Amino acid sequence: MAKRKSRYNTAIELVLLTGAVVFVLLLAGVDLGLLP
Amino acid sequence: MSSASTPTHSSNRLIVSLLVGAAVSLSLGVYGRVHDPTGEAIVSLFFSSSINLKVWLATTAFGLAIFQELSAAKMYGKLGSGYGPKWLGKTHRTTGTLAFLCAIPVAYHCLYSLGFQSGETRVLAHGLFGCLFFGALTAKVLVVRAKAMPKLALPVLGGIVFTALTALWLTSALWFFTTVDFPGI
Repeated sequence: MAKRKSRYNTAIELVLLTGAVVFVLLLAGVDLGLLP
Repeated sequence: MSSASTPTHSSNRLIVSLLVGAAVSLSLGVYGRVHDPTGEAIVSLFFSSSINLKVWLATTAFGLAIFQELSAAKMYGKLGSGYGPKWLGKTHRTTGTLAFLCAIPVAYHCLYSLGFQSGETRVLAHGLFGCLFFGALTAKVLVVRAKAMPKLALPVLGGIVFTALTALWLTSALWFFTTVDFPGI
């Protein structure tokens, strides 16, 4: 039960982190000319 | 008591979390100020424009934030009797993540297309609350699973996140609904 809860928390944190990284990459990518 | 949960360690973690949150707020504000706003639209999905999509994403995030506030109050025994059903914790975290995912494209369009503007009180307040929201959210996420935090840390940070998001919604989506178009699909 505790292991399942831990996996769920890790998944949530991964989603949050991925969202934050994508957000920063999009902003930086536009200004650095890496994205259209 | 292990060294991982001593008061000094907890204070350090709280201070670091607040500093990281402040850095996020500041970085977003500086980026919005120095970046040349493009004025371009991003995706609009089935909405008539990007702004309409943003308005409804912001409204969805605000609705989820209300649930966040109520479910957190219930889980900590501050709403009615008991601490709510077992599934409430997972639902709280899932809806919080969804609210964050809704806020990302909105913030991206604000920063990329519009930039940080200060010509009008509403727009300035919106920009400041936007920076505050992401900084407070960062600090809250860093604090939420830490052990032996001061009792007030989580409710205060959660309250700031909710207040900032409410102010964001009032200065954007509600303004849009009342002065431009409703439902504005």
